[in-house]
Amino acid sequence: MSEALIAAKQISVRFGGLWAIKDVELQVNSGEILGIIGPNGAGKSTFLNVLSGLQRPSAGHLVIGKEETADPKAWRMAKLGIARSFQTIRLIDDMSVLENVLIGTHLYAVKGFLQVVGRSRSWHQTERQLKEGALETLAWLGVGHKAELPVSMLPLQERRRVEIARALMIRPRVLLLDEPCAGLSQQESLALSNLMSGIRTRGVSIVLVEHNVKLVMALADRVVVLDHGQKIAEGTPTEVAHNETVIQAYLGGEVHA
Amino acid sequence: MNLQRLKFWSAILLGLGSVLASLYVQNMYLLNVIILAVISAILAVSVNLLVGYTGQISLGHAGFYGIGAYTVALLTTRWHWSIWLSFLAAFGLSGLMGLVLGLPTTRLRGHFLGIATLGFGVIVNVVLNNWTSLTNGPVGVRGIPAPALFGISLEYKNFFLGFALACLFVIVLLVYLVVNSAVGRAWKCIRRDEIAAQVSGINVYGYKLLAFAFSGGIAGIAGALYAAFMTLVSPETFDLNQSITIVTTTILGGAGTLVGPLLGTGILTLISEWLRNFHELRLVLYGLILVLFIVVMPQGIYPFVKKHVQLWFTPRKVKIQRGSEGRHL
Repeated sequence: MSEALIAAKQISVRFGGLWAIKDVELQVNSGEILGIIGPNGAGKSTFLNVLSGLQRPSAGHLVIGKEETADPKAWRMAKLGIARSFQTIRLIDDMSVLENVLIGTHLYAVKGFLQVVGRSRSWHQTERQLKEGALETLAWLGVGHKAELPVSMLPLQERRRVEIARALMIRPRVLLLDEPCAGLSQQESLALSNLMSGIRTRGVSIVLVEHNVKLVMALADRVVVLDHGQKIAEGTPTEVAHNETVIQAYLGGEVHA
Repeated sequence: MNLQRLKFWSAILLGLGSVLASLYVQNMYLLNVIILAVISAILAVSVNLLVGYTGQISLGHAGFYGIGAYTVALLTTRWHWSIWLSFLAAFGLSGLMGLVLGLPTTRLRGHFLGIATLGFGVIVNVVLNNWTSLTNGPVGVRGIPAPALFGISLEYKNFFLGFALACLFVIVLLVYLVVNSAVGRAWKCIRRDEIAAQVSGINVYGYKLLAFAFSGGIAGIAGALYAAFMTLVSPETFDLNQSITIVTTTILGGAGTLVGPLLGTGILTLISEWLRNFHELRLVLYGLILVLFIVVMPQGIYPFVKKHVQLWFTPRKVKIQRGSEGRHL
């Protein structure tokens, strides 16, 4: 059995009178791709926000490695090795691709005042290493040749890759991807899903929230289905695909089979 | 890379050159104007850290300026501290006030932050005016000794100008080094997208506090210079008008750039000195010119000029290529 990197215990999120998420238990294991699917408004993105520390849960807590927290802070979560991308890409448009990716290296950069101001040898060395690492990652993701261009000049699928590159720079153990294939063509989605397998091979677990159920089923080791904020099914893609509650939730009605 | 290094060293040379050149200015009026302009430039650089790099508005910068000036004034006249120690104290105390102001306000954004910082500036002004037992009220504090450097008294205005310029260049150099590091990257990211910063492991709250403290401290140095130069301080210098002028200068010159605040100070000083010829119409014209600048170059003078100079030197072919690449979106 592989170890659990993140365990969500009884997580609930309430917006006013609405439970966006109710008592969701979930575990992310090392080296796996975990798909989260569900109809619109099922609470998938909210759940991802909880995992990345952007949304404070109304109840429940997270266990990350040995740490336990009921009020996760996003930058602390990044420190604990949880990175993410966004459905609406959050890059800084007028900065170059490389500058954007370097933001992700923040945790590993030399930041001591005297070292920065004195431009110490270790400062130079670290900055050079981080830059090389960023360029390497960009090249690996297939956007290395655009490192010097402003992000605004890149097409959507390349910007997605740049955002993933920035997320990888924090050297995550878990990468949360929120609808990475939204707005991409079938071909581009396929290329991106190959990339996700590649990221997993590098030892990073992936939590994938995606509308494209087919893609998730093909890629994920395990799938969790959310509906109305509750977990209605969990298992291998085949198990989930044959689960009656799931079919009901998606098709909205009785199943006659 | 090499170009950057060239720029860096030519800036250093320019700095040294202007310090030397300051010894040859003969005209007293000119000396006064330039020294005050250098102090304004330090203020603009300071507020640029917040407004330009970190994206946090501050409408109370005269508060830090005043705290720095009064720290020097009171420590030297009342407790007879050495002027250099009092400079250090001005930096430390204004920086600390920046931190204290930041603690509650960094959770605010946009207009709310504007109002809160504006309140801070007003409060400092009110305190300076009314805490008579300490600050001497509206009369102010007189008799601040002129500093001396290596046995040379800076009472001689040329020397003071040289010293003030040296301060400005050291501060600009510090800002350059900090901004071009992970700290500056974090600030720039916070300015544009706080959520992106957070998920990249940047402690947004902490970095905003750092910007407030650093910015406050630098404004405090400007205040210290002002006190030492004028040898007297009174509350009316550190009012809301001053705060707004500082921000205007920075935005006009080009917030978020190293050169912008310096250029803004230079141009605004020239304009306001030139407008003295127009007596009553002075402020009307000043306002008109400001509006004109903002309308024509909303990003500031420096980015505007830079863009046009670059376009001028870009070969036509590249321009067309870039144009078509842009259209792909």
